[in-house]
Amino acid sequence: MADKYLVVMAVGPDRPGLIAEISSVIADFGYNIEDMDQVVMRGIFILSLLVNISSSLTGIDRLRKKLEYLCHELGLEVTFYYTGGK
Amino acid sequence: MASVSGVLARFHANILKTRASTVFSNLFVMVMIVDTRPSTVKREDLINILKRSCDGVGLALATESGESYKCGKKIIVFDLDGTLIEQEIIEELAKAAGVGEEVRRITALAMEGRMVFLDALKARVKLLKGLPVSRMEKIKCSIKILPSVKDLARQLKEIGFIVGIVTGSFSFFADYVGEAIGADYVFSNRLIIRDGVLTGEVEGDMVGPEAKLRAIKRMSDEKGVGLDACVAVGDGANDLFMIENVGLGIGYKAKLVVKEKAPAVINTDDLGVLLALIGCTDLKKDVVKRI
Repeated sequence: MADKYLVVMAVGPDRPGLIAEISSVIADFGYNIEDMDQVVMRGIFILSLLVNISSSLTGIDRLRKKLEYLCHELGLEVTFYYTGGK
Repeated sequence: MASVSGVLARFHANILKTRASTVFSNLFVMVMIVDTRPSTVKREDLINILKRSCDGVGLALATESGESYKCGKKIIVFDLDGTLIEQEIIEELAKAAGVGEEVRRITALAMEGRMVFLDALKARVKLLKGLPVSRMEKIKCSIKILPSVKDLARQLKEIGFIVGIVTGSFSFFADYVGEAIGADYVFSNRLIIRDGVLTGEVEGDMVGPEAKLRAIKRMSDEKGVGLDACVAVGDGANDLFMIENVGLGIGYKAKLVVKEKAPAVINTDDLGVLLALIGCTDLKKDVVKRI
């Protein structure tokens, strides 16, 4: 069966530590980040992450909530997108 | 990813651009452009902390200035003993000459940087006086060149690299390995043989730490590129000078002194990592576009 992925996109004012905080939350849930693209454009931090969620689909809602909460704290807007069906 | 970016965040270094992917030959590869100016610690210290954190999670790390990174790499040189081949040739020679113990002691001092390399070399070669060439032939036949090393050299040449061996070891063996892997250049020391035995002397200019860099300079001049376009890979203290003075210097299976000072460190036996570290990935093209 094809792997399932969650795409996480976050945008907001840049400051040191954003990648560390977001990626460590994902690591804490035991998911693997397989692809990542991040850039700072005129002080705006733009991040997209491809997270392999095949290992456990049951943790996804909790991960989403946790990321939504974290990004709110960090001043980032976050959106999610599923590949391979939810 | 979390640990590397965590270190950068802790010391206020700013990540301007990241590309990470697992698609490159099953390796996880991450390229980051980091502004170290806001960092609360010195650049060398930051690199050392990063090295330790990467080591902890089993990642190899390469650090380069932005200027050097942008410059495409064209030349790669390898040390021989301990890097391209497992054996330390001089120790094999010493064993055959019955002076193993004494030579090993001097080698250790030189590799750890506690004795000047050329002095150590002269002292060891002197101890080999009288060793017959037939014994050297036998040692040559016993040299194991790993298939992964041949593969790597082939891949590097395929993507247009000039491949060199730059070693304080001896031409009798280095030329053989050079031929086996298809190296374009071999710089090494020539043992003097008279009447079928070693005289205990070395011919001409000896290849020590500075001569290694001079050899790279010669290659890069001939190719018409700068040192920024050169990669040097080695394990011992005598490699450190070239490692610190080319575009990308890599410690591979490195001794402690090299591990501490090299801007790049590979801590596994997997030479495939090297291709990723020197930027032979699409990720690099993607990142360079945006520097």
